[in-house]
Amino acid sequence: MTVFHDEIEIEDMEFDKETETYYYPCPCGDRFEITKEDLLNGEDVAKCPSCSLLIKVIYNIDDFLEGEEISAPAKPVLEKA
Amino acid sequence: MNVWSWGANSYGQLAQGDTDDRLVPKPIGTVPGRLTRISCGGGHTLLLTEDGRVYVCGCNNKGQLGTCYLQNFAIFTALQKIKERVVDIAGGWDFSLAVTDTGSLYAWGSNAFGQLGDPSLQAITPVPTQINIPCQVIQVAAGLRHTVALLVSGEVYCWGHAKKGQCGQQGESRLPLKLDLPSKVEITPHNYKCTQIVAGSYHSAALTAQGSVLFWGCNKHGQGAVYPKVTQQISVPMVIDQDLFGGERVKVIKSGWTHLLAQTESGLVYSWGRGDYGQLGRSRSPDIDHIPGVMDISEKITQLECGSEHNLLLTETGRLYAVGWNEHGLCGTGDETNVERPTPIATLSTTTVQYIACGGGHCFAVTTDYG
Repeated sequence: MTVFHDEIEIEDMEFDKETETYYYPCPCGDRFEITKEDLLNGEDVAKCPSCSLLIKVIYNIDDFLEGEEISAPAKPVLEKA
Repeated sequence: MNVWSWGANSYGQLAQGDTDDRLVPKPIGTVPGRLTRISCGGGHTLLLTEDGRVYVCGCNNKGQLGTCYLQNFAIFTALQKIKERVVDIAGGWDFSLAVTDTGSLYAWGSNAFGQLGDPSLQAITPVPTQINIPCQVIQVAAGLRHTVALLVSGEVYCWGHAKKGQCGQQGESRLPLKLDLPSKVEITPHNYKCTQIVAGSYHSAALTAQGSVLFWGCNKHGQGAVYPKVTQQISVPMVIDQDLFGGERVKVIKSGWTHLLAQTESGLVYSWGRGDYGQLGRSRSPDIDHIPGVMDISEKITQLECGSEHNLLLTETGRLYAVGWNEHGLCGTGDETNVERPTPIATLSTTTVQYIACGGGHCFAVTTDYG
């Protein structure tokens, strides 16, 4: 069984638009990371590139997919304005 | 005077000139002057010299080095932007703070959670900026995403991420996600004057002039000395019962991300909170880790510091002990197996250690001579 360092809600992670990745502080000083694509694929383990610790990301995949649909058509409207 | 560093070094936070981890302490090449204090953030380090200047190294992705550009430095580099004499420094996860001898407060780095205390500042603020606060500041502490400041009046102010009660705001049915302006922590009874502050990942604590410990914030791991299965959060500052410290007055408090240490007047070191990596340095059991217990160390401790999940303890004879999480060599044992009881760092056994500092996953020690 995987032992997680912590379980973290998605809203407590920081999203980087450029890399489309969610980040959360790791005790070693580096950051746990998981891409939006991984989350959409149902993956929920964020890894730290520098150490062995893992966190479980708490999110609702349906909210996540829903969020996608809302943000897609909103973009052209903003550009026109 | 020699400065040694060890542990995680992903961004050059060890000031060794490279980004290789060190499993045992290694002296750093050049020290910019006679240092009085080191404070480490998540992946960065701040060094304060006797003449009040600040030097920085490590991760700079949010401007936490205050050098105007977002470039990492693997050696100590002078912080140019504060012209006043600095007397205290604090490194948060990805932001930094400095207190000057006139009581002014400067902040820089990430403001994503309002942790700089000025909502007009950008999410990335790479230049030290003076923060408005109603009274002179004498001490500052920084957590993952929040700041705690002690004023000359003995009052405590908090700002930044507030969702888990770490800013001590009360009276509202739902806690704000963040406070982007310094806000006074209401402490009752009002005659409590605070003398020291600490910040954990999502909690804060203060020591009062009477020698009691005040706590507020996340209690997920029993950081508030309360059983976490009963309460996960303490948003109103609460006094930790002095009986839990053998009825003694506490003279120093320290905090890791999810565990705390307190040293009482007789010199005993108590630990409580999260303990699964050995952070508590004593026998433990998950159901009672929230109850302060005396760490297994018989020597007299003169300085204690917490990293995210480990601790360093300095004895009166200048010996250095480490305990807790040991990945990246944090406990300086040469391997990466967690250390359950305070263990002397062999590399420094022939030297006299004078001063120690811990970051999230990195450590510093100042010695009088080479081993």
